[in-house]
Amino acid sequence: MIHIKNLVKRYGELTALDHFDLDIQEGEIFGLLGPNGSGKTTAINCLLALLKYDKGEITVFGKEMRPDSYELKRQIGIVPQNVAVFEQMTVWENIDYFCGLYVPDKAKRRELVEEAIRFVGLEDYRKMTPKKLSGGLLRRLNIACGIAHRPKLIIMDEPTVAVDPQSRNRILEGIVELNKGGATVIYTSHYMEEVEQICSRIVIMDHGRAIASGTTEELKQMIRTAETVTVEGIAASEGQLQAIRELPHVFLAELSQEHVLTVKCTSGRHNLIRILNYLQEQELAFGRVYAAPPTLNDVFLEITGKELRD
Amino acid sequence: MGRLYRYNVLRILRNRADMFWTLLFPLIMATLFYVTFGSSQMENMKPILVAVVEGGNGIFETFLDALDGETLRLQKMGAQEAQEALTSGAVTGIFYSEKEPSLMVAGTQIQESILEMLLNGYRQNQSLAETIGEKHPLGVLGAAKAMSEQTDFVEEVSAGGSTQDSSLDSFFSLIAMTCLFGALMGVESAMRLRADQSALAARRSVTPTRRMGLIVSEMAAVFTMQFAYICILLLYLHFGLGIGMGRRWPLLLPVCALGTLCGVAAGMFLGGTRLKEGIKIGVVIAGTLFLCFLSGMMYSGMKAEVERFAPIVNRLSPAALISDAFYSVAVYENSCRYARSLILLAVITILLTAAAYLRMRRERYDSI
Repeated sequence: MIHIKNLVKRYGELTALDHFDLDIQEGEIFGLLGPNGSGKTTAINCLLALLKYDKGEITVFGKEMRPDSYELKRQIGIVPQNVAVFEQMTVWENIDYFCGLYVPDKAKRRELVEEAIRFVGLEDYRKMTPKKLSGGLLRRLNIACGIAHRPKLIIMDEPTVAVDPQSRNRILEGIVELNKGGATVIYTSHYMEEVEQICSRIVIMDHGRAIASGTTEELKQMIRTAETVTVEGIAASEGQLQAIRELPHVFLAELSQEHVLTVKCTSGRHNLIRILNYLQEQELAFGRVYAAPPTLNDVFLEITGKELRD
Repeated sequence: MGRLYRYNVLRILRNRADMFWTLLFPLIMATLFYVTFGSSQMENMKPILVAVVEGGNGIFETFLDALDGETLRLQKMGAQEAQEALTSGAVTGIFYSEKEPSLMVAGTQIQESILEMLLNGYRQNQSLAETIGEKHPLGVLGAAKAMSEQTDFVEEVSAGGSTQDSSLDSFFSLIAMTCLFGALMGVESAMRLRADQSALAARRSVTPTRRMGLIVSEMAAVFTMQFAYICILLLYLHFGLGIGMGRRWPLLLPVCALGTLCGVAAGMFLGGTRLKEGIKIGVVIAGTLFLCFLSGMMYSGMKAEVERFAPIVNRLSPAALISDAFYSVAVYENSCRYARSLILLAVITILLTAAAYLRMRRERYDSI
C-alpha cells in the first residue's frame, strides 16, 4: 500500500531522513517509533507530499504521491500532532468542515459527521467550541476531523501527546476499531507501550534511519536481552556484583544509587531462581524482586546505546 | 466552494479580535474625531488673530490683506513682539512674509489648521500669483482676492455639496485605514493556507480540495466581511455623524472595494512570509497607521506636505489614493482625479494580488 525507498531529506547540514525505507501493507496498524527528532513527522510530511525531499521515491496505493494527487488524497485521513481545528467553529461545524473537503454530498456528510461524533464520544459537546473542551476532548475532536470521511489510510502523528490516561485508552481502542473496520493505520509515537499495545508491525527510527523493523516479537528477538531481573532495596558489594555477572546467561548487572539491581539475561531457564539463590547464599537482604521480558525500550537501548525516552 | 465560503464568513464573524480592529476600532476613532472636530466646527467662527512679520514678500502680504476682516485679524509686528504675542496667546499664529512664506503656531486646534490651510492654499498658487505680480502688478490684489475666495469656497461649500474642513482628511484617512486593516484578516488567511505556517493549513493542504478553491474561498470571505464592515463605517459616518459623502456617493463603493482587496492581498502576501505572527500583525498595524498618518489622519496638513516634498508617496500609498478618491467624489467632484486615484489603486491591488497568489499557490515546502 505504501512504499518508501531510499528517502533522503536534508535541512542544510542536518540530515532528517537518511536513506529511509518503508513498506506498509493493507490492513496493518503500522507503528513508527522513535524519540523526538528521529524523523517520524518528517517522513509523514514527505509521504503526504507536503515536504520537498532530496532523494528517494514514495508511492501510495501504487501511485506516485504528488501535491496534486487528489484521488489519492481522497483516501487518506490525517490526524496531525498539533490539534488543527478552527477555534471559532463548534465541534459539529469543525468535523463537517473537514469532512466536506473530502465529501461534497451534504446528506452523506451529515451521516458521516454524526458517526464520527459517536465514534470519538463527543455527543454531548456538539455545540461547544474547541476552547471549552479539555485537552483529551480536543484530541478526540482532532481525530474525528481526520477520520470522518472514512479514509482507507489513516495517518496519526502522536495523537495521544498530553492526553489523560482515560482519553488515551479510548483513543487507542478507537484506532484498533478503525483498523478492524478496514482502515490501514500509520501510527507515530515515542510512547513504546502504545506502539507495543496496538501495532502489528513497527519500525524503530533514530537520526532519520530505520534501525529495526518487524513485529514486536521479531524486534525483541533481535537483541540479547531475553529477561530482565530487577531486585529492589539491595546493598551489594562490587565483588558480589561481579559474581552475579558471572552467573550463566547473565550479561549485565548494574546497581543504581537507589539500591536497585538490574540484571539482564540472555534466553535461558531459571535465571530468576539462580539469581535469588546467589543472593540467599550471600545472605543479602532485598525488597521486591521481579522478572520481565524485554521491552521495545530494551530493543532501542541495545541498538542505539541510549534510552528511547531520552 | 460555496460551503467553504460560508464557513469562512461564519468564522470571521465570530472572530472578536478581527472584528475589533476592522469594525469597532474605526467606529470608535470616527466618534473620537467627531467629538474633537465636530464640536469646534459648530461654533461661530470669529476672525483669527494673526501676527504678520513683514519680510518683503508683497504678494503674500497682499494675499493676507485680502483675508483681513472676516477670516483673519492681522496685526503687523516685529519678530520679537510677535513671538511674545504668540507665547502669551494674544495671537494664534505668526505669518512670516519672506520669499518663502512661513507660519508659526503654538497649537494644533482648528484655528491653527485654518491658518495652515491658508498658507498651503497660497503655496499651491504661488507661481501663479508671482507671474501676475510680475506681468500685471495691478492685478495682484484681484488675484489675491480670488485666491482667498477660492479658499473660502473650498472651505465652506464644495462642488460635491459637502462642507470641506480639515477634519475630512481624518475621516477619509480613517476609511482608508479600515480598508487596509483587511490585511489583518489577510495575514490570518495566509497562515491558514500555507502548510509551513500552521498545522491547520497543513491539514487542509492534504485534502483533495483544490488549492485554488481554498485560496479563492478564503479571499472572497475576507473581502466580503471587510467590505461589509467598511459599508457599516460609511453609513455611520454619513447618517450617524453627518459627514457628507457627496451626490455621487456610489462612486465611493469601487474605491472601498479596491482598497479592501488591496489590504487583503497585502496581508496575504505578508502572511506568507516566515516572520512570526506577532511581527506580521505589528507590521500591518504600524504600516497602515503610518500610511494613514501620511494621508492626513492625525494631522490634516500632512497630505499637502507630502505632496510638496515627496508627491510620489501620494501616488503610491494606497491610503493616500483612497483618501484622495474620496475627496474627489465627496468634495471636489473631480472625475479626472478620481479616475487617476482609482486606476493607481487598481494597479497596486493587481500587483499585490498577483504577489499574494504566487505566495499562496505553493504546495510543497522546504521545511514545515
